[in-house]
Amino acid sequence: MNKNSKWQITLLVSVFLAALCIGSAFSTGAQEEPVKEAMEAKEVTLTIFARAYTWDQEAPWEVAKAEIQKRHPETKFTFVEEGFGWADLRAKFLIAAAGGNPPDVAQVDIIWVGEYVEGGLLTDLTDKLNAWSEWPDVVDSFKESTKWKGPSYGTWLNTDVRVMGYNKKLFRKAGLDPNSPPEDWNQLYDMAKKITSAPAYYGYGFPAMKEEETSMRFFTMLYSAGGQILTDDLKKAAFNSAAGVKALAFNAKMVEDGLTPKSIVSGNYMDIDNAVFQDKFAMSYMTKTLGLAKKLIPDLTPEKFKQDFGAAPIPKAPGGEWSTMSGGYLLSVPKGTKHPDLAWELISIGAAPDAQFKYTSARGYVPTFYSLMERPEDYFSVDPYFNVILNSLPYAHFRPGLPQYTEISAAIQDAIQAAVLGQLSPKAALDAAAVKVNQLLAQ
Amino acid sequence: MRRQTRIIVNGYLLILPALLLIFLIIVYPLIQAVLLSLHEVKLASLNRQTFVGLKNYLKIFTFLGPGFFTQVLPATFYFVAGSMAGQLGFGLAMALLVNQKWVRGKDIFRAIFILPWVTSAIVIAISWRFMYEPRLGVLNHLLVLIGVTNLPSWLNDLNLVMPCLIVANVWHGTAFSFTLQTAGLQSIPYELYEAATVDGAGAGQKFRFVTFPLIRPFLMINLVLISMYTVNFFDLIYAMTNGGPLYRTEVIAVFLYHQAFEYGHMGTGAAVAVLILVINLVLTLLYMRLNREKVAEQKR
Amino acid sequence: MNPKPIWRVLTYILLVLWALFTVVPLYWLLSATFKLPGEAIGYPPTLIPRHPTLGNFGELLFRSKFGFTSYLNSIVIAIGATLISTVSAMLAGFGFSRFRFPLRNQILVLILLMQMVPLLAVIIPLYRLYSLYGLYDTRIGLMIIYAVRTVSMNTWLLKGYFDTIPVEIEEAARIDGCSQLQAFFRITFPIAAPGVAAASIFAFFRSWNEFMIAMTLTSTVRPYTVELYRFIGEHGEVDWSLLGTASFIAIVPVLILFSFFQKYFVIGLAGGALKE
Repeated sequence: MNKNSKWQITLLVSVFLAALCIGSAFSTGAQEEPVKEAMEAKEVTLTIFARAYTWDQEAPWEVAKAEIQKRHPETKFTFVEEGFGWADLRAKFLIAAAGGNPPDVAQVDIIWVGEYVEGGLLTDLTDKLNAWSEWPDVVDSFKESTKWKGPSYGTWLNTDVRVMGYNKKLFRKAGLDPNSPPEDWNQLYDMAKKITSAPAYYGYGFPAMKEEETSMRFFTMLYSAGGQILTDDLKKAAFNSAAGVKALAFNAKMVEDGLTPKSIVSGNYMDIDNAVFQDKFAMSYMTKTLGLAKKLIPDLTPEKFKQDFGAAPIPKAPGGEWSTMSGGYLLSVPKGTKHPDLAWELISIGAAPDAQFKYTSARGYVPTFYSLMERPEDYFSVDPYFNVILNSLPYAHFRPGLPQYTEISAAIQDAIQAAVLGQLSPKAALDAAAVKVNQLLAQ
Repeated sequence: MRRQTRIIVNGYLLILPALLLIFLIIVYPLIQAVLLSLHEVKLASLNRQTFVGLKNYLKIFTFLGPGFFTQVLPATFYFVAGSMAGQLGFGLAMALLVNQKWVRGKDIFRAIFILPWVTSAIVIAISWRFMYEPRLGVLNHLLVLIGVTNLPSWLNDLNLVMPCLIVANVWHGTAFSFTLQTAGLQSIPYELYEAATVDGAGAGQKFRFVTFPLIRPFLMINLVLISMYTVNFFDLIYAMTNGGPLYRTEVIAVFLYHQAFEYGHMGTGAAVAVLILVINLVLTLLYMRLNREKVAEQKR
Repeated sequence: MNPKPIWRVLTYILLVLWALFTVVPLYWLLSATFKLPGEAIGYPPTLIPRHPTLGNFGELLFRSKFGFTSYLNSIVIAIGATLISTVSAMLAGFGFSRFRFPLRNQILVLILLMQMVPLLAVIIPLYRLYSLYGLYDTRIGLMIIYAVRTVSMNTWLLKGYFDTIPVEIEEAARIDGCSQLQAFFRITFPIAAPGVAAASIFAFFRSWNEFMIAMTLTSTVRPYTVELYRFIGEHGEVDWSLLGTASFIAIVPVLILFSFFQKYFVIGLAGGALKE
């Protein structure tokens, strides 16, 4: 009888646990009832989809949340705060929208605007933007980038440019002047050669994994050599021109000659950027310099940073132009949200000059307001190399915001990988990618 | 007659809960997915569906970068075969070893062996990726200590990347086979072994005539389940290599994800899903046919 | 029957080797639990923490956004899914094993086939279905999906178990006056206990560690696996010490629970069916 009672006990326990579970199972997550926007809502939940790191500092969200609550004291706000990596920010947004559950505020990479708008996923904010007091302060060329075939769909959270971050310690070790970084590719090659001491550290690093940043940095070199990504009418590939081959061949040679390790074809691009501040690479192009270094080196002061590391414009192609690539994010209101007006209000606070200054200076990003560009001293106190960023801005190029861009970029990344791994010659790789891209553009 | 009806009714009632679950969560969405595969649909605009018949399938078969027959299928089969061999082999071996009557510390071993199963795929992916990291990782660090100079780059090496993934997957999945086979072994009454000893059977004969036939159904289920599970496998590979480098590890589930979620071609993604289903079906039928043949052989 | 000593030694060596192989890859991550954040991301990787600390636990559970709730969610969802899966599978397994009804074999194979469907494929229709019926972002919603992930396999497993138990035992009990249900609980169930245990274990762990579905179908009732993903956050910016701590908390108690659970059923088995 002893065994039997054991089983009876097990059964009772299971039933008890089941009851417990079913009981708490029916408590769902925080879900608010939909409220008519016209009436003054008492309880409002706003869902925000953004990059994970945007939640790490005061701006933009904490500032925006506090302010909007202040402006509507009778409304109780609840915020659902979602933070994602880059690829997930788009994937999760698309899935949510597809399922009929879009967030109220979405951070949108400038390159996705075409795809989102073509899919009917974003609200036209043209009127709200024109009525916004801060809108005239947005730099004109950036105003244009918020548009897709006419209407505007958001305002800028931040933009960025790529500059070259370099490790002065490694420069000194190789007997090079730490305050004279290379200005063109030939100098880059020579200096990298002098510095490289594999496998401890290498002279130059660049991403060659399947990530957007791989394409981005390739594009900086492509434009510098006089090429462009697509033809002006956006109908055909143009990156497989002589300029493109030159750029890719340079990178492939770096790997072939051992100045860059083959491991760059996998992992994350941040590994490579971080490696500059971990004394593993001497030079690499990146968007954030001090911001990254601070995370890796505890208690890093701007002075120490200036002593050990440097930033310079991206070296240009021999006989070519200065160039860099610019990206960035918009804050938009998806279609189908229950509180479009409040969502816009939140954005208008979070993307306003004050919040943008706090955000961009904390992370080393670039602002998009005239008023902020005119007070670089404020940025200098935080980032001693901010002038490099400012000076690179006029040479910044943008990627075409077509809906097919993600796939186009993937084809280019394939080409870069193939060339770097020695599977195809740079010309063959880029031509193969061009065939694919032309196919995509023809649809 | 009434008893017969009652048996039938009871039978259906008993299987109803399971069937209901499966229908709601799998069958119904699956039908939708099959329909989706016949349309051109973008993730960004799910409501705009244009009927294109079998065009999506054609697109998959003629795809460049990666080629379906040249890269995706070979990678998938390579991965599945390696994983299955490892998981079943080690799972059965360890189950047999631990289950021996005289082994002390059975519980400790079993608890340790189940560790990979208790760990989330993300944690595993990160841990193994870190181990394989060529510059900062543990494996190469150890190799340097031993004095190896030509450090392999593991996940970046076109030839090593798939074996590396297989090792990580075998590490991850053997616990499943181990547990299944242990349960199977434990279902064999001990008297059968005693009877065999009395009959003068040696260890090898005991295995052939007592153990193997009785755990055979467990082995079959194990085989079929691992096969399906591995063909559908996504999480670990996506987190470790994302199908690269150069599509060496672009198994079919990762291919699906890229098509459907990265490029937004939902119709094509759905078509890939249907293809996965077909592959699973074919493999399962294959196993069942092999099993039936083997059973028939034994009976002779 | 005592095997030769050399075989005993060999067995233990092999077992220990496999145990090492199992533990070593996780060791580094779990050891980060006790390291200071700086040491955790440093190079070269250290085996023994230089300044062992318990501070990460506090940091994770009280100060970061992680907290206790995600573990609670995971536990509740996993237990719920296990119950649903195991009970359905038991019923179905018993039904398939003991009852003859039309289309029995076909339905059985069909159930197994359903295991073949990759979940990535059905995730979007499922998402819409869930949104429609208010199951989005609920614990019961996840429980149902997780249960379905394992119910096919569990059905087959338990059917297999029931098949090995001779019907005569139940019939003997029924002659003695038990109803079929009583016969089931008193006689069959205890014998099938290892099978039920295995089924429960699978169901539990498949739910405990799941990530992709949870990430897509929840916003606020997140299990720990999705929260874990937050630490991976930016490409490459892995917060090793907190990640290690979170993994540690996720793995170790469950492991201990499993060891306890397993011992119970071995005892049960030893005293059970072998008696006849």
